[in-house]
Amino acid sequence: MKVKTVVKRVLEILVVLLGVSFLTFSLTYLAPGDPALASFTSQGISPTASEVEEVREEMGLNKPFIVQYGTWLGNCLRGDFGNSFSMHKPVVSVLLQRLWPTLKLAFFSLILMIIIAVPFGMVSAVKQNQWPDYLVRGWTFLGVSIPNFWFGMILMLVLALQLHLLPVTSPDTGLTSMIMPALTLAFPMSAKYARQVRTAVLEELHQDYVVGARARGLSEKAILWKHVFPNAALPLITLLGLSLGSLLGGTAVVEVLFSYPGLGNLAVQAITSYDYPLIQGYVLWIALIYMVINLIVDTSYNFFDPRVRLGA
Amino acid sequence: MLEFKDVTIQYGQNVIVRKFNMKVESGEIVSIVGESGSGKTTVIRAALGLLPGDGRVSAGDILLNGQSVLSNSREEWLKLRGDKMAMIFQDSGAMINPIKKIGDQYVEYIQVHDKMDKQAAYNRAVEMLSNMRLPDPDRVMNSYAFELSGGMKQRVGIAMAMTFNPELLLADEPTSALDVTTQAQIVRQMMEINKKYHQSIICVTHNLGLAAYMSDQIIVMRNGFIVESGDRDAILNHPQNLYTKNLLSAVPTMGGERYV
Repeated sequence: MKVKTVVKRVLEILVVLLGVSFLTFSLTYLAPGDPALASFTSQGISPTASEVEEVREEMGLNKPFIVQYGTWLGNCLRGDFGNSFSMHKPVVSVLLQRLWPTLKLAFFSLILMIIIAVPFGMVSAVKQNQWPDYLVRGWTFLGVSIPNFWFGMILMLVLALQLHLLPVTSPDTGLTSMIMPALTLAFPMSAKYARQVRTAVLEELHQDYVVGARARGLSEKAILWKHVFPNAALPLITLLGLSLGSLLGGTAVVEVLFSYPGLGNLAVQAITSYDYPLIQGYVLWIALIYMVINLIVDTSYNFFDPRVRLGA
Repeated sequence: MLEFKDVTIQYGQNVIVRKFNMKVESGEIVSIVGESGSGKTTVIRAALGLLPGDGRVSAGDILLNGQSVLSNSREEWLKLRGDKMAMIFQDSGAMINPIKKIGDQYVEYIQVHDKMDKQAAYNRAVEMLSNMRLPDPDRVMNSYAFELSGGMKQRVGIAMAMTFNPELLLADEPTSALDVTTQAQIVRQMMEINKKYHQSIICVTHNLGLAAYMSDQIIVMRNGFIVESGDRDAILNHPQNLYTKNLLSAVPTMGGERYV
């Protein structure tokens, strides 16, 4: 990809972000519930009407919509996403604090997924329509069908409650705390990817270069790992980018299930407490991370695929 | 050197080649001529133990220097392929990995059959490429398949196949993807190789003109059967079978003379 295209893509990202910011701002504005009132009730206080009005004034909720949006956007551009209503801290610092745990969990589960999915997918493709293939296909069917929160609960039941190997919840980001949430995320993902790997490898195995390599006397092992796998991995990079995007947004269900201090958990808290600035900041983050990862994925083909780099 | 004895090849229940007989002597060039689907490619794939999918030799025997290759183990095949026997394909460019440099794959190939260090293997590859009169072999080594022209890719394919001076070259339509001028050059180069190293060549082609030009022996196939086989001159001048006669009459004539 040329530098010009990259610049164009970055500009596109900015435009989309602007659109996203407007949409999230309007949606939260239109959503039922009064944040001023909520800020009292969350502390167990039932306020008088004048007290609520005072807070509304303080939060800027009395001004016209477009003014509110303009003020917010202006602040955002200066890096100030406002203060979280429920936590009384700047949104940016709240998000940043949760980012690291989510990053750790995302990469941990992604690596776990690859470790599981690649060998299984390869075996399944190489032994197509033989018992290892049927076994893997059965397992992947199970994997994509089981809801991940249910799988997480089974893990809790077995690993934490029965065998006492791991803590039930994961309030910190230590290795033992991350194992169960990561497994819960990795298991259904690896089932999905094992199928993708299988399909991609099967397709590559039918390519002429495999016949060529065999005719040159290369062993099946060398053909598979040095030639077929790198080719098969190419189309999977895009998928991997999408998965990474959704993982970096935080995976609400799993994080809540294990009380893991990540972004997904934070988003759920923000929503339940009508924390508008936090929700907006979070949604912008998701939009940004998806687009940036997409851009990175697209540019990465320059690196991985010489046909893209050299414009074949 | 290579002998097919009543070989029958089938994919599942589908018989593709029936009772195929062929005897290739050392240094001889044999052409197998026939239309698409006649089973000619299947024959040379069988010689290399590389039948696609569930293809298998269901009857007969294939002998290499008097020894049956059909019971070869996987390791024995790996030793034969690319070393004692090598194959040249119709589109050599498609036969190498598109995302790896030609040089890397050439070096990899040499190191599979010969305990050479990387640099020695590289030098050997460059030498082979220059023998095929490829200009700037270092650049070729540093290129991907899609960066070369059809003729260059074909020369790379032949250079690779020639690396270990195989006793037997199997060529599957080696020139049909090329323009006429390049075709002539490649054919001449293959014949030079044959003269210089006394390699046996089995060339599969649908081009009777090409077969007539280069072979000692011609086998005409149709629907999996041998229609006619024999010395080049016998086939060209005294064809017995109607199909062969038709094939011959289909070769274009120029000024009333047939240039086959």
